[in-house]
Amino acid sequence: MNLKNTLKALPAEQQQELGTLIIEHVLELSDDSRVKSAIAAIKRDNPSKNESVVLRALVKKAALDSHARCGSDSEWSEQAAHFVALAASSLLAGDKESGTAIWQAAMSCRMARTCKQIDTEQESDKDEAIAQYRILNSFLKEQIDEGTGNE
Amino acid sequence: MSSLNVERGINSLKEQIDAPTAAFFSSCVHCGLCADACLFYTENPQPENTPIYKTELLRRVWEQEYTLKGKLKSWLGMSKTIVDADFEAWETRVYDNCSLCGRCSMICPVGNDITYMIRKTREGMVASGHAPEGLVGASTRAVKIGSPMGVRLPALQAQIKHVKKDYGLDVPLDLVGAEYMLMLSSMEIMNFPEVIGALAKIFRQANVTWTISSEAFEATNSGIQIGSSDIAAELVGRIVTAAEKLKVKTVISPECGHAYTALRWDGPNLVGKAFSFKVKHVLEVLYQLQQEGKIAFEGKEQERLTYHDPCQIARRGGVIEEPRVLINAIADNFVEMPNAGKMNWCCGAGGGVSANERAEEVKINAFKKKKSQLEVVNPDALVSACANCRIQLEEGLEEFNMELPVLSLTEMLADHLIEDNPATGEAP
Repeated sequence: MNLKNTLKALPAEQQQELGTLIIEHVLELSDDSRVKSAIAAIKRDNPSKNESVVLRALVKKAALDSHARCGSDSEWSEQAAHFVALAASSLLAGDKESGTAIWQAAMSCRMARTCKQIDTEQESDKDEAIAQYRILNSFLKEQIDEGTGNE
Repeated sequence: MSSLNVERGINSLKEQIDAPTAAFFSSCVHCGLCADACLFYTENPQPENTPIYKTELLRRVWEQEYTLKGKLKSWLGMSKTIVDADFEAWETRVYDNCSLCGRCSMICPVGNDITYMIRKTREGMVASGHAPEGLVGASTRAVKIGSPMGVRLPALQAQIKHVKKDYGLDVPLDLVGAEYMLMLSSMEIMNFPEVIGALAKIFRQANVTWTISSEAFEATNSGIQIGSSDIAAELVGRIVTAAEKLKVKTVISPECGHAYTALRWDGPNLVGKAFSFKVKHVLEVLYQLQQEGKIAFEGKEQERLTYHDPCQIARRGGVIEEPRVLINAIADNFVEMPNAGKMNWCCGAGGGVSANERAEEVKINAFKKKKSQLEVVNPDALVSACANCRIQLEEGLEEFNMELPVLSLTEMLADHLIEDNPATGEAP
């Protein structure tokens, strides 16, 4: 199974649901309340298009506030938080049809994990790509179970 | 501040006076046209923001030391001696309010390279101890660690590992005899690591050999930004040593503006010898690969795209046609902003402005000029080829509530690349 193609093939609503789970897996890497509250809101309320615009503005600002500045001393933990915010921003982007948004979000989550590994200067047993496949499998299984009434 | 620092600053300014500088000061007709060419003046029209005025300390030294009129004035006690307060006053003028974009030099009716003179003035500022804290920190890290942002080799290796795993593409380190040696900026490694995968994909399709040096991967040259030729020479020297060791034919300057100026145009003079290799901007290389038929693209963008010319790549570097040919290969609706190309307006964050936290408000104010350019063409997306420009553009757009994606041309080209034998990874 190819994660990218599978994600892109999902209906828009499921993309958002799954994307939220993927971001939640790296949410520990961010202390930004704007990002945390946006992800919680997506999960809880399934926001409308207008609400998504407001949430996206919040997380986009969080992403801009946390990126590395030219010439500044590298803060990889902050950079990890930046990529988490960027993932949330991608997920809330308007373009759901092409599936690009959720894939961008997934890639940003991987980058966030890489940044954290650079920060801690050690190899981590947390492989974000593998984790994302696990999340996808579990999500698809749940969908199938729901579809067949085997909840 | 000690008198010793003032003396050092003045002596450094004296050392900067060469034949071109003397000729420039002699020929300035005080027309003030450079003012209207400078976005720091147009967006904040104060006399001290006039480009030529930013060189005033250098001019005073030139007049006092090298002209009869100046010597007579000094003898009669009519000269204004440079004191520490002068250096202090000029610090914000030459660092916060100048991105070394080169537009003033283009407009000068007598052909004075005013940017070159401001760059020289910065040498005196550094020697006098009057350089922005952010640039001092960046320069110190660049010399000690090899990166102005403190990015070490393990960090690059982690990003390469990500590319290998997610893209299924090889990123060769220290490959002796490779055709190309790719440089990267810390800004790319930290903020835009996707560019490594994009180039790995393109080079694989083009079937060219390439490598990254583990000993000198950083393209950014803080010495050029702060105005220290010694630091600039040290940083260029490291790249030269690595390129010679790996026996590469071409060193690629990445999507970073002043790195290109530092290596390609200033580089040989800084290290005092001709290079044994060519230096090209990444867009020049991609253009060449396309022209040679080694790469081709498919699936044209239908959105209205425009291109922001990074000053050091276009105006100071001459890479103007190449990005346009490449964009037109992947887009049906490319539109030019007014003043595009060699007279493009700077994003407002070049020349070390972005590394200078004190200049935050100034650089956002300077972005208004870019905003006005964008408003004329009203694009759907903005493409550029400098990581520093991209960040400034994103921040400026956010500040003025303009919803516009900012894209890397290299990454876009990779997205549209026709691959004969795609890699097995998932990433684009």
